Amino acid sequence: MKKVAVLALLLASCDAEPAYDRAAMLESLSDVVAVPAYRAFEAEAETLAGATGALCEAPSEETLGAARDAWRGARTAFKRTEAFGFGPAMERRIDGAVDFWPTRVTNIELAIRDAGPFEPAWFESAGTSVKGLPALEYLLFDPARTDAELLARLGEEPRRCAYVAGLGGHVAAQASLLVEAWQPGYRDMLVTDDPHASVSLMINHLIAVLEDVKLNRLSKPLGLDGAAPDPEAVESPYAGHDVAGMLATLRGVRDAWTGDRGGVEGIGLDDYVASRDPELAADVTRRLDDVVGLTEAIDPPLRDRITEGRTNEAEQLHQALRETQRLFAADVAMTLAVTVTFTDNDGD
Amino acid sequence: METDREVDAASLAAFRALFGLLMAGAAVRFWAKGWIGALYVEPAFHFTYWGFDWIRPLPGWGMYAVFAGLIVTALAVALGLLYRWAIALFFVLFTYVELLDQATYLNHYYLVSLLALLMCFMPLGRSFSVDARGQGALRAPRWCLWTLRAQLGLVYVFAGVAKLNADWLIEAEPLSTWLAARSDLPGLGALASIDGFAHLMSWGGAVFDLAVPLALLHRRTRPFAYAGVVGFHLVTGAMFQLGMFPWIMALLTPIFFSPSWPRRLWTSLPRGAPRPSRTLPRWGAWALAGWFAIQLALPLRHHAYPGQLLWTEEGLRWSWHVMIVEKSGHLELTARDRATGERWPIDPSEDLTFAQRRMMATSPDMLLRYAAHVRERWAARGRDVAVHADAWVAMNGRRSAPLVDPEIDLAAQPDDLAPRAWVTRRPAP
Repeated sequence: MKKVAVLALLLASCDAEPAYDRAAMLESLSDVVAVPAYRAFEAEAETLAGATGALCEAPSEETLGAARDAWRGARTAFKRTEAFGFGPAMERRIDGAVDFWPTRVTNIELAIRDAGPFEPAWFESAGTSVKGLPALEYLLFDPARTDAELLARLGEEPRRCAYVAGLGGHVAAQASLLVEAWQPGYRDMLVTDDPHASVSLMINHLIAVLEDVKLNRLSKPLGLDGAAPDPEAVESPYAGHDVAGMLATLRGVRDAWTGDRGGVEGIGLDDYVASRDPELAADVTRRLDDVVGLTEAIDPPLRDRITEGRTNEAEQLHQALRETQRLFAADVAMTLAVTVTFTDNDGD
Repeated sequence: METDREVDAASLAAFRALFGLLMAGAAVRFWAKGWIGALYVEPAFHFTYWGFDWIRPLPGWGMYAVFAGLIVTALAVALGLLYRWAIALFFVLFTYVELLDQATYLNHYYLVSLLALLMCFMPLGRSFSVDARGQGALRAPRWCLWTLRAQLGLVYVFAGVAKLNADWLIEAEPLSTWLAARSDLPGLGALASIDGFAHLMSWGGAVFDLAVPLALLHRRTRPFAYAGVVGFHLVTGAMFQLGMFPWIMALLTPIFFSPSWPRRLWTSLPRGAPRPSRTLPRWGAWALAGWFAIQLALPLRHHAYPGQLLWTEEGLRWSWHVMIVEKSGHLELTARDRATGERWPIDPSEDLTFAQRRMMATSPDMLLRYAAHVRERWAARGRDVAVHADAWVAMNGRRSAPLVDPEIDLAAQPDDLAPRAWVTRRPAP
C-alpha cells in the first residue's frame, strides 16, 4: 500500500498537460480545408457541366473558350483536393473516374464511335480511360486540330457532342458524390474513429501525393528516370495545364499541413507536429512554401520547357520534393509514430 | 513427492498444451488475415538470412500446406498426440517459415522456434497426453522445467538489459512518442499527459523486465509478478499491434510457478508416478550447457560491432531488443551503369511489397541483399550496374540522418558478418 501511495504522490506532484487534441485538429482539417475544397470542386464542376452543355448546344469560339476555362477551373479545384484523396475519392474510386491519365485517345474515339447513348448511366458503368477530366481535355484541346476543326466536328457529329456534354455532367455528378460522402459521414468518421489511424492515413497519403508529383509528373517527362526526356509524358499535355495542376496539388498539400484555406486559419498537422517538435514543424512548413514557390517559378507549360531544354526550375522542384518527402516519411512519421505502411503485420 | 531429478509433470504438461494451442491459434490467425499470401506467396523477392539463402517459399498452395501442417502439429502437441513427431515437425515447419524473409522477423517468433527445438528433446508427451492414455509418468525431469524457465527468463533479462541506454532511461524514447501517439486509448490519455509519466514507465519497464523472472520464481512475490506480467502485456498489446506476443508471454510464464500449479485449478488431475522419468544423460547436460552459452553469446554479440546497435542493426536480431526503437526511413535507390556511368532510379515497388520496402528503408542488411538482387537483375539484361542508396532514417525522437554512404556501391559490398564500413555508425545527435 505504501508503494502505491508513493506512486500516487509522485504522479500527483507532476504537471499534467492535456494530450494534444487530435480530434479537434481532424475536425478543423475537415471543416476548414477538406470539405470547402470539395465544395469548390463541386461548384467548378457544375460550371463545367453547364459550359460543356452550352458548347454542345451551340458550338462557337465563345462556348469553346468558356468550356475550356471551366475545364481549367474544375481541374485546378480537383487537384487541390488530392491531399484528401484517401477518403471516398479512393474508396469509391472517384479519383479514377475524374482524373485517370495518361489519356487513352483510342479508347475515347472508339467509345464515341460505338458506345452510348451517353446518358449518366453509361458514364457510371464506363471504364475510367474514357471519362473524366483527361478525356474531356483531349476533346476540348486536341492540339492536332484547329479550333475551327474542333467546333466543326462537334457540330457535325452529334455523338461526339453528346459525349462532351455527358463527360461534363459526369464530372459534376462525381464532385457532388464527394461532397455528400464527406459531409457529414466521412468527416465524422475521420474525427471520431481512431485519431491515430486517421493521422497515419493522412501522413501516408501526403507522402504518396508527393511521390506522385515527383515521379509521374516530373521524373518521367524530365528524363530523371533514366530514360530520355519526354515532353509528351507531362500530365495534361493537350491543355498545357501541367504546371497549374502540380501547383494546385502542392497547394492542397500545404493546406492539409497548415490547416488554413482561403484566408481561414485552422488547426493543421503542423500544429500537431509542433506539439512534439516545433523545429520540425517549422522546417516542413518552410519546405512546403519552397516547393510551392519553385512550382510557381516554372514558366508554363512544362512540356515546352522540356522541348527547349530549359528545365532548371523543374529540376529544382524535383529535388525540393525529394527533401520534402523525406521529411514526411522519416521525420514526421517517426515524430508521430506513424507507421509508413499499407499492411498490418504484427510488431516485435 | 518430488526428487532432486524429478518434478510434478503437471506444469510442463500445461506448458505443452498452452504452447500447442497458442501456436495453432497463431497459425489460424495468420491464415485468416491473408498473411500467407501477402507475406510469402505474393512477394517476388524475399530477404533471406545470411547462410540460409537456399531457403525459398513453396509455390502457391505449398505455403498453405505448410500452415495447415503447423495447425495440425500444434494441435497434436497440445494433445500430446504422437508428441515427438509432432513437435519435431512443428519446429521444422515453423522455423522454415521464419527463415523465408527477414522482413517478417519478430522476436517472439524466434522465441517460438527456440522453445520448439528445446521441446523436441523433452519427454513432454509422457504425461497428461493422448500418447500416455492415462498411464504415463506423472513426474517429469527437473531439467525440462528449468530449461524452459531459463529460456523465458533470458528473454526478459536481455530485454531489460537492452533498456539500459540513454534513449530509454534519460529521453524516455521511444515510449514518450508512443504514449503521445496512443493518448486516445481509454485511461492512457490522462496518464500519458502527466509530465514524467513516460520516464516512470520507461524506468518501470526496465526494472520489470530485469526482475520479473526472479519475482515469478519466489512464492511471495509471484502473485504480484504475474499480475504485472498480465497487466504489462495487456497494456502493450492494446497500445501496439503485437499479435500473439502478449498471449505467448502471459500464458507461458506460469512455467515459473510451482510445478503443481495446474492442480490448484483442476483438483481431479491424477497423482502418483507409475513410471520413473528418464534423467538427463551426460551428453545432454553438455548440450544444454552449450545451448545456453550460445543463448548468452548471441544477444551480446553486438558489442563486437562499433556504433549504436539500434542504428546499425549489426547484431540486433536474436538479441531480445524488444520494442525499444521507433524508426522511420525514406529510401531512394539508384543504379549506375559501370561502363557508361549512366544513372537511373530503381523502383523497389516492382518486386517488393510495401511492408518489405518499409523494413528495408531502415535495415542495412536488407539494403545489401536487395542491391545484390538489383545487380543480378540487370546483369541478366546484359548491364553491369552499381547500386547506390540515399537512405535517411529518423530514430527515437531524433531528426533524420543518412543511414549509409550514398557514394558506396552496395552491390559490390561483401555480404558477411563483419562490421559494415558503409553504414553510418550513429543517428543524428
